[in-house]
Amino acid sequence: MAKPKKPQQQAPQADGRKVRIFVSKLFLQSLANFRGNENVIVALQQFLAFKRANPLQPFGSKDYPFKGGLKAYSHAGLNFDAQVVYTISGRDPHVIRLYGVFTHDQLGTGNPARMNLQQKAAKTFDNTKEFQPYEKIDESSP
Amino acid sequence: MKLNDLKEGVITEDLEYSEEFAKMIVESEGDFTEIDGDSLDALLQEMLVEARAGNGQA
Repeated sequence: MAKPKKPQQQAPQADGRKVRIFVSKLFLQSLANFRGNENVIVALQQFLAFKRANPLQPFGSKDYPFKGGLKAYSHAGLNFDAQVVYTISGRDPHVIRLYGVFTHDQLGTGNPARMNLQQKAAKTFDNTKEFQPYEKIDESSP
Repeated sequence: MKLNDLKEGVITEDLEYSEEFAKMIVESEGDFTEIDGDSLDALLQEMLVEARAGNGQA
């Protein structure tokens, strides 16, 4: 007599509400640099939607931790040049911390020729007006 | 990772980033605020609309 088959258990759907997101001032500043760049903005939206549903899965083939001292941080490619730096920790809820969106030039490669670019980039972030997602609109002006 | 790790030469040469970048990332710790995922998506959507409007005018 054949044994009754156990009902197949469906894989639980990831609950996006079980992911908390934190952003740094650096993230907001770096994001402002990509205003006007549709590709990066769309890719970042896709990255966030994916991570909210699948926090522990890599976003495509270019999502992995840095080497060396920053190995606790991951970076995911958004397009050929931009990548988002983030960490993920915790469980139910998972916590995603977004550090910034950077180009390869801004990351620097240790090449002395790029060091000036990197120093300039660091100064640029210091001087960049902080991106205020909830900037109040002055409605008093006519 | 702490800044001292940078000074102690933890970073090797074949990295995808420079020391300056690493310092920038580490120094941004402790400066985080929570944002609702839907709110962040809405913010990005606003940026996208802005970008498309700007590109359309180009």
